[in-house]
Amino acid sequence: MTDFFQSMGITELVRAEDLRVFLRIVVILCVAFPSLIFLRRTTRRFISDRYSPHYGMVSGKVVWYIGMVILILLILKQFNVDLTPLLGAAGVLGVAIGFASQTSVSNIISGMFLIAEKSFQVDDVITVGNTTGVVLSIDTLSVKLRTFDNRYVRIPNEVMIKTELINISRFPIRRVDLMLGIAYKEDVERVKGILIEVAKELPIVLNDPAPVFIFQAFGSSSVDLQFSVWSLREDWLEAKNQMYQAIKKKFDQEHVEIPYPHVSIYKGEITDPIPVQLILPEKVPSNFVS
Amino acid sequence: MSKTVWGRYSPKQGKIQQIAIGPLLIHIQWFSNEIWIASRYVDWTTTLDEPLEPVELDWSRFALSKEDVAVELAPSLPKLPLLLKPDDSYRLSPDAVSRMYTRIPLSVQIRTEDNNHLIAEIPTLIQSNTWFGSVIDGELCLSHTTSARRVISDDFFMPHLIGSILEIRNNSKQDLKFDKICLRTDAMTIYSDDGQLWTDTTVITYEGSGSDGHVVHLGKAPKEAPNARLISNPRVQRSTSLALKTFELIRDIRF
Repeated sequence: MTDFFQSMGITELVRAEDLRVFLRIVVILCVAFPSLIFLRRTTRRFISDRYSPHYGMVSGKVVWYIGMVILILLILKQFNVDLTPLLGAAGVLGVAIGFASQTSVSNIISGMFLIAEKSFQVDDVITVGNTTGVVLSIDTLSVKLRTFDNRYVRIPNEVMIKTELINISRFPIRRVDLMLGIAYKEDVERVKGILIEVAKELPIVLNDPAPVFIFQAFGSSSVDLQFSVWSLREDWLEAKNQMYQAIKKKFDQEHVEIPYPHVSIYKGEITDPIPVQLILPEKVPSNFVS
Repeated sequence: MSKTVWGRYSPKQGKIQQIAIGPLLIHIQWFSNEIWIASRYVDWTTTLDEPLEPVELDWSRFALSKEDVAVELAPSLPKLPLLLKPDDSYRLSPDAVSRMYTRIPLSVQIRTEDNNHLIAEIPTLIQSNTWFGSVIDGELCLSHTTSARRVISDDFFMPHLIGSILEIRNNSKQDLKFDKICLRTDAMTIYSDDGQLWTDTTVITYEGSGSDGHVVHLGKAPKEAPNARLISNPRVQRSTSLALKTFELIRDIRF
């Protein structure tokens, strides 16, 4: 068989050409691929250090995708693939794919708006709908979050654009709103003084901005109050816990009643009392304890 | 001012040493190559006369490369800026200069004697955090009230407080009215004059530009401490004059 090809003069031709192409591809892959990885990493690190991790990640991805396209085109060129019809076909295919992937395109464009708008960045804590978590990455199609109970959540960029988004960690301090109910018999001014004293005693609570006391409403079972204090954003949960615990302790010390929900029934003037009669059995069971 | 509080404490194996600095009580004990440190805050006005109630101490343990290493206790200033609130609101007319005496709560640095390694830094007073600036952009400070004295009275010096002189100059054409003033304690130097601790004088010049003031730490002991010797240099070295947000002039409406 080999002799047959040799006699035809094909072996050398095919081998030499194949070998040349093969070597070129190997060189491209061995040089270009590690270079591309290095370039992506360097760009990411440089931009992250100079601007923000978020921009670093986006820049790294841009470099990676552009590099990969160039790499594929270079490899195709080694096979003497004419790119003109390919590009033409890509155009036609692009239209077809475009129709079929409107959602994906919408996500990509939404992603661009998200990046341009800078509503949040990687490592920010955000709430989207009912999901709160730390932003892990802002990708072409979606944003990835890690929730506080350690779940991985993927939210499409389109949803992010359409939904109300709360960035919890944007500003350095946050307000802790504490909802309280006290009995109607309590002196509200005295309770206000106690709450301010509790806030002053906790170092985690910021003295300034000063606490806010709001008389919310006359509730069905209690006088409803709001007492708001400020803390560093990273201390928010701890400040909330400490405040509630300290308020409960102080209210107990000062005998301020936190009422349970209750209902008072009043008899109307015309209505007779509801008759209630206690009937004991004639024979009291032996195990009856009065 | 107690002259024996700051300085060297040599190990006494198995025995707890108790050091009182104002309301702060520091407990130190040595076990082999470990130093155990605990601290608590007490009503310091009664501690000298009445025995303290025994409490469960929350110890921190430090293992060292050698056994029986003595420790040095040194005064230090808070790492966070101090937001001073004068008891009464303060006003300076144009070209007025005010020189006021204030006191800053100290921290205690505990260092190993052999290599000066910092093993603990404990504030002598628990101070509340406070925020200086707007809710969007500002800085975390420690809250402190001061009577902004014009003269030094007998009760000025206390073991856990350091004297500090603040000179405010109003170079603007309008009145300077402020509620609070921010002191960058990390740029202050500590001196000791016959056991009484002083910082270098801070000169703040108001030029009328918002809440900024040109802050200069003079870097030498005040004239009130003629025999002063240097105890510690500032945590950070700043340029001689720096425009910093210093005054809280008006309050934001916050809700």
